[in-house]
Amino acid sequence: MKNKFKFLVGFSLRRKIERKSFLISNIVLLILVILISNLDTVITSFGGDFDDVYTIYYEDDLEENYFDMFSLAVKNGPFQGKNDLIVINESYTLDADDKNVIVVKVNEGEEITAKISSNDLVSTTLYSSIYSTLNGIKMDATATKLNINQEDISKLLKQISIEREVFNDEGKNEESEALLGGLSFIVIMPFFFGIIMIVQMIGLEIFDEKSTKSMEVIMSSVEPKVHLLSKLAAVNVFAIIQFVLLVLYGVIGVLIRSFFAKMSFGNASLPFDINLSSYSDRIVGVIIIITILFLLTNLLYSLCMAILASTANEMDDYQKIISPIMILMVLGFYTAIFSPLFDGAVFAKIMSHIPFFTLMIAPGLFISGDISVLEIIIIVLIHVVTLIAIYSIGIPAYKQSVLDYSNDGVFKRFIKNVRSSRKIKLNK
Amino acid sequence: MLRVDNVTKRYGELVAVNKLSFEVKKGEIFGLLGLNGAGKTTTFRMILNLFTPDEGHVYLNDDVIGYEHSNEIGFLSEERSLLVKMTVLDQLTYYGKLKSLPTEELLKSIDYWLNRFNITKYKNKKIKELSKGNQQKIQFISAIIHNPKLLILDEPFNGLDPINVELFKEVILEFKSKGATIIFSSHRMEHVEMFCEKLVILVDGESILSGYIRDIKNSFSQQNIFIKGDIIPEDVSKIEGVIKVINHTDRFEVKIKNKNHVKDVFNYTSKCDNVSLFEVELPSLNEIFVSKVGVNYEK
Repeated sequence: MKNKFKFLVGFSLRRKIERKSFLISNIVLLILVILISNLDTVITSFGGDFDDVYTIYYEDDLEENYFDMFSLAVKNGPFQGKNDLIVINESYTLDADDKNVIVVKVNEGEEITAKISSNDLVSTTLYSSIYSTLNGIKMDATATKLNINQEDISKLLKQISIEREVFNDEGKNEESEALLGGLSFIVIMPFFFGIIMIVQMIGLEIFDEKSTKSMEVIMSSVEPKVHLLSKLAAVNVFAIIQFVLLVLYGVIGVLIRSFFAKMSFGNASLPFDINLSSYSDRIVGVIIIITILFLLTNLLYSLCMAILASTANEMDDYQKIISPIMILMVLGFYTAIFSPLFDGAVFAKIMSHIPFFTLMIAPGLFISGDISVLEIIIIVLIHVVTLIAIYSIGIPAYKQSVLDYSNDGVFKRFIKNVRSSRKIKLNK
Repeated sequence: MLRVDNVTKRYGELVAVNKLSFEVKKGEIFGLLGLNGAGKTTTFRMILNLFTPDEGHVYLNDDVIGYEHSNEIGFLSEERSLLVKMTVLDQLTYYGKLKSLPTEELLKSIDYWLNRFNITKYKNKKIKELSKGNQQKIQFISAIIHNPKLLILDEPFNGLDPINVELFKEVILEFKSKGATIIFSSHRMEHVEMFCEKLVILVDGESILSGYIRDIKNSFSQQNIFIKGDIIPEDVSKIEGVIKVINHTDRFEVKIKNKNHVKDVFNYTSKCDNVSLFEVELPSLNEIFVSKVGVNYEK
């Protein structure tokens, strides 16, 4: 039976990998990942403004010329192409064919005003940068005019400094909690969609063998549990292969990015930048927890799907039978989205202990400190017990269901098979 | 040798098979007959170890049948049981490997059987692209590819033209001569009569008739006489013991209660002109089935 198990896993895996759809989807994925990791280069090559050189003409009639301050602030502002800014201190009149030229004119009247002119719309970031710099100039000039000390203004405008102290939460603060909460959700998303993919593949494979009436021949050669476990193994190995390929595509994307950077076509750093160094200890913990919970939850959903799919005789049955699984997953997903709103609520805590929802909810609650490591261990134990229970009830029911082509409703058929398999087990 | 020993299978209140017993020796072809819902599929599934009997046991060579015997059993199901998106090669490899055949031997065997059934050119085609007859050939090959000792054939001639029926018969008889135990089920009585030495007829899960076909026929008193000649059917009907006279296009069929009435019919026929045939035959299996069950088996 060991050899049959190995053969079934290998055969199922080979069929998936040799499909044209697998090849096409991976080519598309590779292209997408490369495009995303080189998004700025792509946009630029299609006429985006990442490498546009802007020339800014600055002119003011204030008592003190603020050109140096303006130039320094704009060049050091958040505009991504700041190295390609030319700031000139002179008056300029725009020509109709001037491209990427901005004229900034500051006037001292009763109140300091400014005019920004250009032929086309400019980068939003650059505009914001100019806007905030002009505000600074206005403040400084007004202060000088009113003879107010610069330090006083700074004190007036400076935001309040808060030293946050939480005695029961080991120095955590709300900002980091919010960030980590959001991060755990982002990390869960691929796992969530991964489970959906795995569950669908297992269900369809079993349904395919049953609906073509091949099951009778297959089951006469292989024990039901070997057959079921081979399906779970094949699909999960396939998911791992797909995951590894995705990582590989990411690496290829980054390498291509580095290549473009060397060729001076773009920026070597990724187009998104998240600094998580201060949270690294907790992130590692959360990722370990998510991984363990993912494996257990995935196994649970896969097992349930396999058992349910064995009941389906037609596509209509399959669609009916998959709906409870999808409802459970979506319910967990939305509870996870809304659980931060019920901070510390018992509802979310209880949900996190229910195996089907754990993966989506528990990591967030763990980060926010609503559940402890001990509770995570309890949750894992609950998962293991549930898995054993479903396996021991499900395998005999699976054997009955895969050979049941009766005309009863699909759920009625499922319940009938669970009951009759229990009876057979008890009689034995 | 296969021995089904007093097996009973229930689905809730319904008794699908009740205390069924039969034995099939090596090199024997056994007919398992019954109308739809009679319990044939359940019996096959118990032999295949897909169902465990509620009572009784199925033995293969004196061992209670289990998954350890699965490599010795070949099964051709009544319905098409092929994964139609697979190629012929993949399908046969899949079923062959499930019977634990080593790869090299399996590939040789695939080539041999595809050639034998004249379908080598479809080796890399998808099953769904094949005709019904060719699909049936693939299904048959997948049942015999591992040289099973016990071969279960449920409606093997489905979708076949007469030439391919002959080809199948040849292969089935080849397996019989090699000593395989064969269980055969068909809705066509002439196929059963042609192949089987023994049979069991199931009605509502019960065996109503079982044993060697020769003995069953001999024990059945009614006989048929075929006559070619200028007889007058109305006169024949009046002879004592004649049940019915059927006028076929080229001959008359006279059904008599038992063999004691043959002589009376012969005496009448001998007086008629142009008589070229007078043949006494045992009743057909279908007639026996009709007399026992009350409905035509082949309808």
